[in-house]
Amino acid sequence: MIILNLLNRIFGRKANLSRGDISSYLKGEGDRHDIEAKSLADDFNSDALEGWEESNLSLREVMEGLDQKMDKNLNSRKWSFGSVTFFALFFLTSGLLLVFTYTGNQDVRENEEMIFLTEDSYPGTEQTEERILNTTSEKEIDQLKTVSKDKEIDPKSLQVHEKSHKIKNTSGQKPNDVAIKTSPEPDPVLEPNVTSSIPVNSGQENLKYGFSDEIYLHQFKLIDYRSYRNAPIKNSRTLTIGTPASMAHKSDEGTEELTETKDIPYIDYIDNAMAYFERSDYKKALKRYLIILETYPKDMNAHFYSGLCYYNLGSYEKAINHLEKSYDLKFGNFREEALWFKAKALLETGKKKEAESLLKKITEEKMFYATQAEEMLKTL
Amino acid sequence: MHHNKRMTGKRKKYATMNDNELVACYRNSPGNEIIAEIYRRFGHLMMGTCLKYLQNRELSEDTVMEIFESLPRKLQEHNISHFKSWLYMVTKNECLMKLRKKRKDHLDIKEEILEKSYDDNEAELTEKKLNELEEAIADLKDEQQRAIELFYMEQLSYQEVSESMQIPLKKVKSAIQNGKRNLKLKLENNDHFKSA
Repeated sequence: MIILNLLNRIFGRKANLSRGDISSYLKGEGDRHDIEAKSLADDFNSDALEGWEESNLSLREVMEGLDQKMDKNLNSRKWSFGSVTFFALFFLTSGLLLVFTYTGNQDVRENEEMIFLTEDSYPGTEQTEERILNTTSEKEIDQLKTVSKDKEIDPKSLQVHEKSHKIKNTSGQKPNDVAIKTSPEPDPVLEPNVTSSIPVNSGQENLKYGFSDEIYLHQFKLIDYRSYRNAPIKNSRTLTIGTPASMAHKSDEGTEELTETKDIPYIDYIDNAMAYFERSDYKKALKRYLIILETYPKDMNAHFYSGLCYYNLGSYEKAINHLEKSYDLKFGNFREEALWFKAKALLETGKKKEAESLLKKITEEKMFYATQAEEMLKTL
Repeated sequence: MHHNKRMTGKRKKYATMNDNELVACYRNSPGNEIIAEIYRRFGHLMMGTCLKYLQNRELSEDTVMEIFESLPRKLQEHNISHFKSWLYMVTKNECLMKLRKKRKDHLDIKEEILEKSYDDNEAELTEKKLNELEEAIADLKDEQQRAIELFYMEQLSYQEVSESMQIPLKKVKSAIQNGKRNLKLKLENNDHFKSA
């Protein structure tokens, strides 16, 4: 009885329900089994069919009205689309011109060379030829499992949607471009100031902890290590790693990014890691952060986001360990976030008292997560 | 857009592309024709989905229009791998957001948003899986088993299944849905079936 395409019949991908499908179904006509199967195969189809069914409206009449609205909307928009693009280009060009004028070519070229860190701020960060995670920690990571959705820190909740701070990400580009492109376009907002002490994401005055400049990759906050070029520049300092995220195919998981090595500048490397993080691919992201830490043991970005990865993979002790290292007096950017997630991790490991006092601190100092912390305190 | 004079060469070109090609094309060179093509493909599904959640025609129409207004920006900003499931999420989220505004505490939006209802269903069809499927169907509860068999093997409609099994239409639907879900769980536990 069972025929070979039964699996496909039950689980296969089905086409969209067409207007005609739905219309005739509503009238009690058409190939009912086919339409029902399409709706079972796909939530979009199924919700839509249900919606139409329950509404008792005529699809044809409603859609004709909507067609007209849509038509009008698209036609009236033609100009505004064009002008928006025009003005955007205009401002971009003039912005770039300004940058060139005021910083001079020299600066821009330095920027392209992507020099990030000074010897002083990162002692013991000599350049090495190859960076491969030692196999034990890689195996450990592979064995971890992502925690359930309700416990997971949703990467999206950390994304900042603020255009002015956003550097164009490179993930949409072809892999070749990533290798060639050594720097995101210079952006006036991001011109390094060396350290400023203005807290960027909290209204609190924070005298103790320094805030350095930030950049946003995939809308995630990162410390902009490009600011640290007041010391002699070493052109060749790059992290040596493998395939960029955009090149890694889902099918060949595992070692591909570690066996084939290539020079990729820090910023592109971490950009790829952020892309994995954004897609909730915590294992791949984590491996990359750890590789960064092998070269730059005090990299706050890598500490913070590897902490979150460990958290989402259920390794709370390690998460706490990294989160604790993700801020210090000079680089306080991640402090408020780190303390909050540390408190959550402490709770997960059953250290209620420690978590409680930390949550109180977050509330009292009116940190970024103060309201959440207050709510959590109530539930303890 | 239903006027024939607008059936330009471009439109024909877009009509033959698959969803992801269409989006890639839009990212390279944004244009209203592509938005219109997306509307042609999904407008009625979006409208139906809005109707399901909002249960109000005007509100649904407004929501669909709003989504299309934000689409140009969203298409550029997001990395979309499965356009259809993405658009479904966007539509649903938009509805849920509207609902939440209406009655704040009654709906836990987050769960819904995070729910990843789209696995790819791209499992390869092998003999082995088929045997497993056979076993899995046999393992189902009587009602689900019968409903699945009638619907997928005999290819009857809900109505016909309902008559044949002498149970209400609603029950047929849920029996098939639950049966399907159980089958999937069973096959996934066998591990050959994992798509993610």
